Amino acid sequence: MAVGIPQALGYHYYNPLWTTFFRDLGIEVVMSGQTDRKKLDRGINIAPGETCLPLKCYLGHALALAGKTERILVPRLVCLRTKPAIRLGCPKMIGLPDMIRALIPDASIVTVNIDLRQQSEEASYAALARELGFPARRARQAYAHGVDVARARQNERIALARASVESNGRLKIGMLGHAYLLYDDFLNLGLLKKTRATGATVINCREIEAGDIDDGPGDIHPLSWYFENHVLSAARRFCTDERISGIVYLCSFGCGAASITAEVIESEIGRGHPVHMLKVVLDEHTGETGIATRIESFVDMLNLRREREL
Amino acid sequence: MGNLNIALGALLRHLGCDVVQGQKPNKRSLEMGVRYAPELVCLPFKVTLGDMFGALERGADTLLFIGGGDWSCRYGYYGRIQCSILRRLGYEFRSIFVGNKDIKFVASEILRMNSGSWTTAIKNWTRGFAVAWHKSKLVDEVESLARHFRPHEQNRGECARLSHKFLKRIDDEDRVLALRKMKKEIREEFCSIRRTGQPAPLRIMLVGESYCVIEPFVNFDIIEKLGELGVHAEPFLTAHRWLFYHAMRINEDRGFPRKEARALAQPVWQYNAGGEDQLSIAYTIRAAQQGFDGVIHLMPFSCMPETAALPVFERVCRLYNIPFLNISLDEHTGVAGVYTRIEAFLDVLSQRRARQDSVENVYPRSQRVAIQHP
Repeated sequence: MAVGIPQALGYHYYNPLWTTFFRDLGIEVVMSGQTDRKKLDRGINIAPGETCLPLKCYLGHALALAGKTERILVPRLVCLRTKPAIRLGCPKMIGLPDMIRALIPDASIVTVNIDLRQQSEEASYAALARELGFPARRARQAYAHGVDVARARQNERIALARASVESNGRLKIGMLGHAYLLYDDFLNLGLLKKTRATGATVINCREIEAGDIDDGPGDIHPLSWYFENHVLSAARRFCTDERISGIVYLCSFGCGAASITAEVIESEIGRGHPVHMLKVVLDEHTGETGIATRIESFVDMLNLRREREL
Repeated sequence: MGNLNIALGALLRHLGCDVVQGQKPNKRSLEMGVRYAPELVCLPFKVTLGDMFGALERGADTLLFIGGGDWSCRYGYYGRIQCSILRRLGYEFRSIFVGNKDIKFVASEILRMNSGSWTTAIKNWTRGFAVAWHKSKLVDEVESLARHFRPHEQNRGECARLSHKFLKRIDDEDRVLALRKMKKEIREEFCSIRRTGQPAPLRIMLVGESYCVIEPFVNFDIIEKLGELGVHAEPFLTAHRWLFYHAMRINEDRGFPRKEARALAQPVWQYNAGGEDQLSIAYTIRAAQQGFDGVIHLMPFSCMPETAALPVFERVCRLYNIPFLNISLDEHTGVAGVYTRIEAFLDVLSQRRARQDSVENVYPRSQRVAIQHP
């Protein structure tokens, strides 16, 4: 048996967990590969016009797998945290399997339903394994191993990022946004690479220990979206850290949550901490040159300001 | 939103508030909303924000927000973001959020308004609730009768005139008994409208996002427009049902309870993704089962749950063989564009109706209910 994993959306949050889980169960894993023009175009062709860029990209990845594997893993991320408050996925994450069934009728999919109000994450993965014909005990072992691998990978990233924050000299820019934009170099049009090319150090918001905003001594009312909350708490970290000179907020056109998150960052977090933020909105028509120009001028401005302060 | 102001105003007046009867959403409130709201936020946010400017300028010192809390749709954050935008612009007001969380605060506010006495507070609340309930039901009745008779009226505008008259009377009347009596009168007057002999108008189900379905200003008065074109349009949700479900969890979906609706939609849309999407899908399926001629889906541009559910609507309508028109609304949507699309859609529907028999032969009813359970 082979299970296909589209390398978009939730993949960038759960990456080593899924591959380890399936390999431990003895299932072959087929990856859809990096995003490219062809995948994105195929996704755009079948997606409803108003959906966001990452979703169109996901559809492209799912289409690329549809002929190749018996099953495609399409996660449903409903409730990702229950304490101290309920944290939800965004509507497209909640309805993803239903959308795939509607848009790609010939794909046969398996879902892992993560709804912590109903059952633990472990039980959800056990249910997935049961559907594929594996006993719950093996599933739990595979899940535990997967979580360990994922955590180890995350700790590595965090250690690297911490080292670069503490290094001296260069300009440091915090990158805010969803993992599926930040880690996909094709979707973000090489934004992170371009920023590094200007000589600045990039701190990815997925690679700092931010935690849920409830945990901190917060004066900010948290959002109910799980991933947006992470962005918010990272934004506050960046704002209060004097070593970080500016923030780039990367979001996609049509992302409903981003319109609210950006407003909260600007009005509540930005208050009291003078910070420079560049908001980059991506869609399938965004040109690479436009992004490069904006990044360069933003970095120039930060450099000028820094020189004046020194 | 729609004629919500009548019932809500009555309730608040009984609780001892001075209600600033805001204007209905209008062009200026839209303009103000668009100017100060975040660029990519959805249309209901902009319109309601604009309305708040109007209300504050007319002397309101407290803004009441319904909803808020753990939502996966942007609606949960409306109040909070709108508050911060208004405060930043220098407006001064108090804000009260009626949601799941601040029950205690709301209760203490009610107590304060009734000079600290629990007995008065409870008395006023019960009375206010009764009046609001009856008004709301009566408004619902007027709207439903107008929807029903408009396609048949001989003199165009008769239903609009009647509903305007009764809505005004409902708004002015504050006695429960009189309101109850009015119901009969309303029915009689609507029934005595002179009718054309049109046998069976086309029937269309309106589904989608609640604000866009209910508020005539943003959907270009689609229900009345369709009625004037001789079509019966049935919204899946009305202001009355919305208010009592969201503010008080009173389920008024008579004949189609939410539980049943949820079960009907679950095979194709397992979770409610934040708005009224699951209910909408259920009503779409039910419209097909009840022999409606078409479904119109109204949503604000970039609406999170409805955009996600859109492919599912299309799938359901293919499966159940019912025509489907999606209209996405924002501040740039022009009235002529929407009306042209609706008219073209109606042409399709009436032609389809004309060959109904042959359609029945090509797609037998038994094939329509073939949704696989996941």
